[in-house]
Amino acid sequence: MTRPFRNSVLILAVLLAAACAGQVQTASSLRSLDTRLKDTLVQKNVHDSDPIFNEVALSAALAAIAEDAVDQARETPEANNQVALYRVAAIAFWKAGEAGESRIASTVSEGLAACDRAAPRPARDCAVIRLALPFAQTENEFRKLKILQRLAGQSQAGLDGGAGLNDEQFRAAEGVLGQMMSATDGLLQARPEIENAPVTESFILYLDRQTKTSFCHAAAAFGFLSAEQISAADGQGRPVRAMSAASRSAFAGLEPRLKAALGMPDAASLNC
Amino acid sequence: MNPLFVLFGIRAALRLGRTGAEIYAQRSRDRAVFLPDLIKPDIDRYALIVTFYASAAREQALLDDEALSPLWDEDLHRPIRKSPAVVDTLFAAVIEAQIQEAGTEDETEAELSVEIAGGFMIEQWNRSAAPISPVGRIAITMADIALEFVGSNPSVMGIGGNGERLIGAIALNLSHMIPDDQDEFGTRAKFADRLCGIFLRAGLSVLADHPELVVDQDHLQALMAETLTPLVTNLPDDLSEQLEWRALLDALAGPAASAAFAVVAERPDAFLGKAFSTDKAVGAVTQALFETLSDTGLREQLTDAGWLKLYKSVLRVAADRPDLFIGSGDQPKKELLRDLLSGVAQTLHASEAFDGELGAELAAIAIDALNENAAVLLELDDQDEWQTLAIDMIDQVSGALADRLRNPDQAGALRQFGKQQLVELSRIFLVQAAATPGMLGIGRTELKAIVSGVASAMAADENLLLTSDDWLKIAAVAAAEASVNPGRLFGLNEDTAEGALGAEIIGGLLTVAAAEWDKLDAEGAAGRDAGHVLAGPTLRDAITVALRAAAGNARAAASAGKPIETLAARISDIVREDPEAYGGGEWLLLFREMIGNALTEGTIVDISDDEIRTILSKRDAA
Repeated sequence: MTRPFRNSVLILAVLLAAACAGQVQTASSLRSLDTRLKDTLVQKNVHDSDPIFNEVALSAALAAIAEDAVDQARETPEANNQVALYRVAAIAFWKAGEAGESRIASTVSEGLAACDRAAPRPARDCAVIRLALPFAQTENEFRKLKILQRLAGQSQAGLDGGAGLNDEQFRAAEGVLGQMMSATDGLLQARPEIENAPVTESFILYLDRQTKTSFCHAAAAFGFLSAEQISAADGQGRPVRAMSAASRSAFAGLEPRLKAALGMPDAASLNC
Repeated sequence: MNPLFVLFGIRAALRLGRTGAEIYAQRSRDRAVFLPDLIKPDIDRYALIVTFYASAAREQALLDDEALSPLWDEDLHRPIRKSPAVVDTLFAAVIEAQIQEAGTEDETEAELSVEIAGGFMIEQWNRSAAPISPVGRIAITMADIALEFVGSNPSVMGIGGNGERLIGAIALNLSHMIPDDQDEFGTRAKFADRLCGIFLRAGLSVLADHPELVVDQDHLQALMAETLTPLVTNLPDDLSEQLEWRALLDALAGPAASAAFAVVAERPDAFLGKAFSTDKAVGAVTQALFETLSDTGLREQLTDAGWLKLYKSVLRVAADRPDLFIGSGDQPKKELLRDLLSGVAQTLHASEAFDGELGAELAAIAIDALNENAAVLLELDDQDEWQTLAIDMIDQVSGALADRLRNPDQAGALRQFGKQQLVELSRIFLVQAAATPGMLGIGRTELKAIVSGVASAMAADENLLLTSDDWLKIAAVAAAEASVNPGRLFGLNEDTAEGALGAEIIGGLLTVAAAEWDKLDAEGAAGRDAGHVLAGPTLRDAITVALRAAAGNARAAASAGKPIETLAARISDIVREDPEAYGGGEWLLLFREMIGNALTEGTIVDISDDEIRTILSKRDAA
């Protein structure tokens, strides 16, 4: 065996043998957190339609995963490892719902800062961190909308499926619509940069799918708000109440922009 | 490829993360992770309608429609009511309008293929944007696997440890495995990547199980060069053949690599020193295994587990006697090995009863037995015929037993033999034959004569007076006596097997026992109820006593007076007539004491009470 070959083996062996325990530990922790996160999310998905299922416990579990990930990210010196851990935290806080609502913004902020330090910049993880905020915004507004829909359903004011919300609640619903459109806009704005990053084609498809879902949430809010308007013909002596022209106009413009961004023909259906 | 490139490749791969641990971390970061979907909205028809007509152009089209415009509130831009009649009518209009506009489906949905409940598994990078060289990829794979062992087996991966040597051995063969031709790079490099991973994992597992083992770097390198490299370089160019080769390697390479490393662990001395013939021999056996299975379509004739059993046996021979597999010019005798493997498979396949794993076990026993006695056997035979000797040995045993098993009605006691017992029966003959100089050789069929003789005697046990365990003991005695008394009990060739003395003696005693078994006592009972003792262990021991005695005095045993049979019948009469005084022990004692006289005198018809008392008193005194 020639000397260069012996050297190569030695170098390889030394490098392998000198494997830093901290690095291996961080990687193992990341794998473990990823597994915990996936298992919890799959479990959540499976039980989504089960009314007996303890949603609170699951959200708490996701928040715990997120906190673990953030703690480890703060203790890890390598920016690339930090990014991966913030990616776990961002997803977990997003899916934790109310339990993560107050923590996600700072987590995303720390994660994006780590992205700026990392070299090379992890394409998927940084994209996910960036998207986590509009994703979380969409789902948080969805939960608010559900409450408003419940309130409208409980009210006796609605006639023939008509308005059940009071004016204050109506304005809150309009705010929900605005936030949902803002979340969809956020996704549309993030897309060009993500498209230029070396993410997989599957990731772009994933992003497009979530963007369409986000729009459909806005559409659901728009439909609800539309039904909650009060016309003169409602015949209950209540004053006419209409969605603001700004909201209507913003929503009307959202679908064409979305289709253009996603490269869809104008006539294509979004299949909400 | 310049060997230095290998060095650079490995260094470059390691530099990706600066250390091996960083590579592991990178792999952990970059692997596919679960990205969840957004919650799906609850969206009803009403929302779909107002969403669709949020477009001013579509709303105008609706208002222009005389039938639909009365259902639309132009001021609030919504249906006039939320009643089902209005909503259903407008929803139908939305669907129709969508069809008219395009009728297109969203086609991107189906493209996200790795979907699991509520999300997708997505990797970090677009591969085309982050290419890694083939050598780098293999190095990373190796580092990845090695690092798995760092935590659980630190001693294996320590500096100067066996793991380091194994990695070095594989790494230094990369230049031979991956050709310079760029066109071939992709296919072969990916294949090499997988195979290196399989070998490394198998090797590290074996080395981790044997921490005391000291392996020699140069030998490991030679072993990898002879074993792993040809498997990669032999990847066919033709796509369909490639698929078959890959499928074969996927199924068997892991266990085969484990077996090869296990041989290193079992026989470390064979892999030390300056001679590398053992490595070549082991490599040649491995190549022969895969080439035989792929070239000749023999894989189905034994199970995969069976092939691996056979492979392990031949590997042990290669480690112990590499000279058997290395020819002139230090070249491995691949043809010999292929002949051996295919010959064994075809022989077993032809015997039907020994097809599959059972046959492979029999073959492995034969090869192990030959290996253990190689020093003696190969002095007598031309070494070039080693494989013929092995095949011949397997053929004689499997053929003789299969002849009987083919017709269950004539198999007698053999039909109660399970697979494992058949293997044990075969082992008795094979081990005995391999340990007996002169019994084996080209054109010799003494082994088959012995097996056929015992099998024909077993066929006579139609009443199953003996268990299969009894028969295994009888076979062991028969084989041992036949081996030291050539030609006396079973003849020297298969033509005399049927009428051989040994078979006659066993048959005669079985006849006496069967007749005795059928005899009725005073109360009309038969067999065990009548207290007959010539069955089971007594009969088994009687047969072994008779075989030993006859082997020393074959002429008398074969005389027309049938002295052994006559003696057995007479003793049975005595025992039957006084069951309170005599039992199985007495039967056997009398038989053992009197058989010598019976053979010397030709026969014994009368046995006096005094004689019986004298014999039994000796036992009592003892």
